Amino acid sequence: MKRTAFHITLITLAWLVFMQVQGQMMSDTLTLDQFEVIGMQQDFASPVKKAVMDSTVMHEMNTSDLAELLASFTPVSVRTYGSGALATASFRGTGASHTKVLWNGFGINSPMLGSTDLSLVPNSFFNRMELYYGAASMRETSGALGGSVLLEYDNHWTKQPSVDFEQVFGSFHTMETTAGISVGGKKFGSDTRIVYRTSKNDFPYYNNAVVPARKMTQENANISNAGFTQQFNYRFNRNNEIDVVTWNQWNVQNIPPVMTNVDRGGDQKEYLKDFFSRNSVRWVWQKKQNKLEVSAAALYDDMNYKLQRSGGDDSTGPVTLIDSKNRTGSYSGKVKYSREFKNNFVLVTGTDAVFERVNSNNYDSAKRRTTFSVYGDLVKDFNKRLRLNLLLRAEMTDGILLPVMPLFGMNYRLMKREQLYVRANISRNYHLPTLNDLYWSPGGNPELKPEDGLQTEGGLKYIKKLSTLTLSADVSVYASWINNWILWTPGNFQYWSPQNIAEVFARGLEFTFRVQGTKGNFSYYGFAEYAFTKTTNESQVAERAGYDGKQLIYIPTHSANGFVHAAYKGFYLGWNVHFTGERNTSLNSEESYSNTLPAYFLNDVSAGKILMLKKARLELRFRVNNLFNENYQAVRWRAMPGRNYELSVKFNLN
Amino acid sequence: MKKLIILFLAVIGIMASSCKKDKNDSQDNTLGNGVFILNQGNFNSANATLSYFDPADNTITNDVFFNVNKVPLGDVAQSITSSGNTSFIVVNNSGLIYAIDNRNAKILGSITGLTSPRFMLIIDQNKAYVSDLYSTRIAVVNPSTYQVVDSIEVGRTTEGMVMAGSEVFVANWSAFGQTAKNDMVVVINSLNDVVVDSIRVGIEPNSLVVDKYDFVWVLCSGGYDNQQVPSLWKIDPRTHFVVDTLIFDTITSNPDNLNVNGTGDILYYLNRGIYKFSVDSVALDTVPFIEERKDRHFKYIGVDPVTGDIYASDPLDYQTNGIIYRYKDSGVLLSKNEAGLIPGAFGFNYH
Repeated sequence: MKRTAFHITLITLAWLVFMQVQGQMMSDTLTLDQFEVIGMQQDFASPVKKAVMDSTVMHEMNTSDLAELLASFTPVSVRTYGSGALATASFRGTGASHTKVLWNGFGINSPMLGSTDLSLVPNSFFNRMELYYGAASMRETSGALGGSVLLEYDNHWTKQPSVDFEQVFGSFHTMETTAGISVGGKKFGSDTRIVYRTSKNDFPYYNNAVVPARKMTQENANISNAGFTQQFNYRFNRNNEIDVVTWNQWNVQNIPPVMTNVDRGGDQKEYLKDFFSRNSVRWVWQKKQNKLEVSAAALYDDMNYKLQRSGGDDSTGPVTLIDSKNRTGSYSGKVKYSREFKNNFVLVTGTDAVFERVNSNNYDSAKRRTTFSVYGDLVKDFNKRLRLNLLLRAEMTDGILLPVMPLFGMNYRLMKREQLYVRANISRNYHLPTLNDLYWSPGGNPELKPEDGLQTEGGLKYIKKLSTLTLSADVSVYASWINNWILWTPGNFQYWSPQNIAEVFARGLEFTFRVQGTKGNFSYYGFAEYAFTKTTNESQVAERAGYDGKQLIYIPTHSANGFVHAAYKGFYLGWNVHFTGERNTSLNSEESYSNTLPAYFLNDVSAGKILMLKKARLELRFRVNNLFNENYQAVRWRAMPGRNYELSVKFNLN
Repeated sequence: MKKLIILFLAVIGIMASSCKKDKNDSQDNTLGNGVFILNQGNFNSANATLSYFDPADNTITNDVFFNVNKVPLGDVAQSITSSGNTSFIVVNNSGLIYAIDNRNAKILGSITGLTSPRFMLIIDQNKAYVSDLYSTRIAVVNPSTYQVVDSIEVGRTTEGMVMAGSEVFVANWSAFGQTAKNDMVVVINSLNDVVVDSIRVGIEPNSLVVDKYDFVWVLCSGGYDNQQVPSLWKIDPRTHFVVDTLIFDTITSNPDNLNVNGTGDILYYLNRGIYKFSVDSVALDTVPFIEERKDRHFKYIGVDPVTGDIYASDPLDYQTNGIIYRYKDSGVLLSKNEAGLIPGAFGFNYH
């Protein structure tokens, strides 16, 4: 206790001194002239890998969810249990909880599970998405050992009010309505967006997991999501602005049986009902080279998972086998200050506080966790070619101080004439156990240590701008060693318990090629991505059990995706191919049907027409998903839909 | 190398047999005398498999069910019971029972529509009972036509079953979905499917066997949360009276998997180690007959009714293939083989 108090005092003191020094520097430099900072803002000179989701892709996937977008258009591996069903992401061979989803800068991963269900994130709520690979999000958060996804809605400060409305009719009784209203001007902005999606998901599939194998219709798979976001932006003056955002959503996901279980009696009902409300407020002060952001968020989630089967005695009604009720609240505050100094030097520093609270009938009692962190991020450019980056992050959880998390990175422009950059970085990052890991009853292990990642990465980026087209290519290699990786294992009793037992070595390569251009009325955009991922548990436990060196389950060694999009006079055509290689479904070395899932290719094609009518814009789109009717599984014996269609009508008024 | 050749031959044999689509199909005799091993798999993952162990040369063939039938066994393979040339595999979370040919593992039929089936007890050629973890009814099925023909309302969920005379003794292991305490053995008259009696035993009766004197032995774990000291009960099936109760020495032990040898004089059970108990004995052993070790934890046992060999499974980490140990009744280790994921029930196949 004494020690903890000492740590707190130390951190506070260090922070106060730091802030004071900053304050002095600020007043000294305020009078200086503004200097050219454009070079510093360019992402291709970044020592870490960041990718902004292209607007063409955002448009293409506007009416679907984040799970489908990531699965089809990025090298991120998505594990989905079905269309509109639970989906989690894995970056660079890590686990679902190592992927953080940041909404307006705040992590929205469940404090209980550590992961986010990506199927509950409607793409139409956001107009900016970014992927941060590996250590790239260490300024925003710790623990994203794989990477993070950033979600934001940028207000454009437009004078014109605008209305948009889109209606989708899809196969399997799928309907989706999205709509938005934006009003405001130079001082004020209001954006309201709604989504309503329902699907029976009653797709036909061939069930070869039962006797006799037969054509069936998926049952108990209907989903519905209803949500809205409201964002207000207000600009007090040139230096001050504020935004307030709320995102509220109601979700029902029925969970269909595994393909082998369709002949079961007892009329099983399994579903997840969820309501969340995410709210944030941010004040930004900006003057010359200084920027100060103060923000806060309150995230609330009420989730109920239920599993019922009818009992023997008809009068007793269904027997509830599982009724899991979980309410989580997460309250955060952030202060972030950045300053650009004269000699090509940028400092970003800040502090975050997060308080998490869980009420669950799976825990003995209500549980809470408080995390404080401070960070300082220094970026310095030399000769307009070399950039060095040093970031230090310190974090304290429930009074326990983690070792400092450093990131050191560099980016160097290799040739004066060509935009060819080489980057490298090395970092250490910790991922805290989830509250389920700590407190699940029975089994939770309060003694767990954080997962400890040592990560390094190198990459090359090349950009070539020609008169009518832009080409870019990026190749990255990375290696991460994650010690104390948490795994649930059977204990001496009749329940499982998590332990810090795995030592995971994840390494791989990512390659991206992009091309974009126009010629007269014709414009085109295309990209191809490939990822090689090798991720293995190298612990002594794994060695004893004989699966060290064996690829972790559900992470493909090879994955690739490509997209071409062409537009001519309001007509457009888009084609997306997405390949997922063979995946292990168990760690057994034996080559057997039950240990691997075959690779699959998915092709989605869309065609549309945009009509401009004075102030209105009308868009008609037809889309075919899984064009070649590939019979595939993302998770073993979970049926997936074959070829299906979507027709959408979109209307904008400015 | 020899193991590989045999495995190769076995696979070729199975492949050859499955390619032949003539009327002699069911006559294939690709499986010699041996042991079916059910690998439970993980709940909701549908990765249960069937292995076949040949004790003559200590070889094991995994994934037999899929390789022969081209369908997965299903979700949580729970128990196996044999009648004539047919074995019935109860697949718990798939809610069905597969009937396979003992000579080649080919599917003969399936009994579907069950809620959460656990064990099947053959009464005669046309009648069998199926116990259920969630339903308070025992399903009455016809093992010849693979149809569910009736059900018996027991008022409790049901687990292990044995027959003594014409009566069936059923353990009420789980308290799930019932208001009554789970400390009863229910007696059913198999001639008219009527519940005739219930006998109070310890909490959580998990397994029962019949010895050479026709006494019914019931093992009670005392509850997964250690509500009661575990106990072993001896019931006279003629009078339904409890004739003896043996109490374990610690409340934290969780004995289960009561088995009997072919001659009906020795009982075996698991209690962090394999324990042995003579039916004529008056006290429980305090040290195991076969010990667990740091790298050897037993989850299920089975006793070969002919040779008396004891089979024990170790699921290791429940995520990779488990191990099957075979011991002589003297306790000498005879073989150790890798089976599938969470190896559990054993089906002794003599034909």
